[in-house]
Amino acid sequence: MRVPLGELLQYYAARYLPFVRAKQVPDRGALMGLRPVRNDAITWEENESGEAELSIPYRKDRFAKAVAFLVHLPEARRVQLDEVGTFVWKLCDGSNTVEGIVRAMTKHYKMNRAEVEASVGRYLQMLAERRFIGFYRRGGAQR
Amino acid sequence: MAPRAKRDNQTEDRALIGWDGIRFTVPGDWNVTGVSADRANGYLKVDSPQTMFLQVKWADPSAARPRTLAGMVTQMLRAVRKQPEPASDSPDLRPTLEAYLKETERRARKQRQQFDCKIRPQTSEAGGERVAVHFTWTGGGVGQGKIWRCTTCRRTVIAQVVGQGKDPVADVAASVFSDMRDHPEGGWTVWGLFDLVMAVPQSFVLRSHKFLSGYIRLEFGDRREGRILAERWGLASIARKKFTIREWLGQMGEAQKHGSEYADVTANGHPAVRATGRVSGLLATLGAVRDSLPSVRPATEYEACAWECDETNKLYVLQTWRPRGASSLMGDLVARCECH
Repeated sequence: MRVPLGELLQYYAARYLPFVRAKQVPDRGALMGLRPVRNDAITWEENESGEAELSIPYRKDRFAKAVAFLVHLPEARRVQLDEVGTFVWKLCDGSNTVEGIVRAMTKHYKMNRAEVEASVGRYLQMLAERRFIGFYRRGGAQR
Repeated sequence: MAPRAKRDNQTEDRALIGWDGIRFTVPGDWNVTGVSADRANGYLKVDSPQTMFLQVKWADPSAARPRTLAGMVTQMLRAVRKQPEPASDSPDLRPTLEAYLKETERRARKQRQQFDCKIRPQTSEAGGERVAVHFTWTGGGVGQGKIWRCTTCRRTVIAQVVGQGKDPVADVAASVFSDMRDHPEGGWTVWGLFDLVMAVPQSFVLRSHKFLSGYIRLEFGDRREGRILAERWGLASIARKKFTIREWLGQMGEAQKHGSEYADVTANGHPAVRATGRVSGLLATLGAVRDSLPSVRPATEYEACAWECDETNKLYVLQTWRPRGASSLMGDLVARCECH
C-alpha cells in the first residue's frame, strides 16, 4: 500500500526530467485486488469481548540480544485490537482481497462504501507498516 | 418539498445528493469527493467507484459579496427593506461554455489526445424556467453535459458527466440531468451526502463542514434565526455498547454544557432523546451576541435531538440555537432528516 521511497523519487523525477521514465503507479483496481495475509510469526487469540489480542515476538538478532542483556524484555509484546480492527484482522487470511474486506465491512456495519474504503485502506497500511500483515497478488510475488 | 417524498420516488439504487440548493440523484455507489463552501461560486464533484464522475459548477450572482463600499451599503439597505436583488441581464451561455471547453481541450492536448466537441443550439427547459445549452466532447475521455441559467434563482450552472471510452456516459447523464434542481423549494434547502439527507430553512447558509470516515458534520447559520448543527455517526452498534443515547447527546453534543433538561421522544420511528437548555455564562453569551451581529437577538435557546437508526446503524444528533421568542425548528428538522 505504501509507495517505496525509490519509486516515489523516480515518479517525481519523471515529472520534471523528460529522459526519466516513470514507473507505473499501481491503480486503484490493482490495490483492491491485493490479498492481505497475517504475519505467521504473530500469534493471536480472541478475548471474552471478542477482541483480538496479538502477541508479537521481539527481534532475535544480535542487537536485540544485546538490548535484552541490558534490559529485561518479555518474549513478546501484546497488542489489543478493537472490535472493528478484529473484524478486519480475521479477514486477513490470504483468501480475501482488499475489495472483499471492504465489501464485508460495508455489509456488516452498514457503512457507506467510500467511508469504509478510506478507513480500511488506512488501517491495512498501518498494519503493513508494523509488519503485522503482508500483501500478495494471486500469481504475483508477496510484498 | 420534503426530501423523504423525493427519495420515495427513486428506485432503490439511487442516492440523493444535495448541496446548497443543487439537488440530483446518482447511482447508489457514487459518492461526493469534492465540494466548495462558497455560495457564490460553488463546485461539487461526485465519483463513481470506477472511472466515471460528475462535476457541477455554479455561479450565483445574488450570493456574491459586494466589493465596494457603495455596493455594501446598497446590499445592506436592500436587506433591511427586504427587497429582492434587481434582475440582471441574462448572460450569454455560449462564451462561458466555450471558455470551459477550451480548458478541457487544453488538458486533452496535454495528454496528446484528439479533442472534439459538439455544442447544440440553446433550448428552453422546465417550462421556460431554464435556458440551456447541451454539449458533448471526446478527447482524453468522454464528456456529456449542459450549461443553463435558471430564471428563478438566477444561477448559472454547468454540469457534466465524464467517463472513459466504454462507460455509459450518455445514460448516466440523461438520468442525472432529468431530475437535477438548482434552487431550494418550499423554503427548505436539501443537503444530502454520504447517506445523510436533511433539509434546513433556506435562509441558513453552510458555515462549516467536516467529513471523516464514520462521521459527518454540517453547521449552518443565519444571523437572525440562529444556528443548526447536524451530525451523523456511523458504527452506532459499537458506540451504543458504551453509551446510552442520553449520555451520547450530553457528551458529544452540547446538551450538558447548556444545563439541558432531557425528555424521551420518538424521531422518525426510533426512540430518541430531546434536550432543551439555555446558553449561560458570560463567554458563551458574548459568543452568541457576536454570532448574531448586526442583529441584536443572540441565539441563546438551545434544543437538541438524538436518535439511533437500527436500519442503517447510525447515530444522528441535531442541535439548534435560536433567539428567545423564535419558534422551534427542531420538529421540522427531525421530520426532514432521513435516516433510513
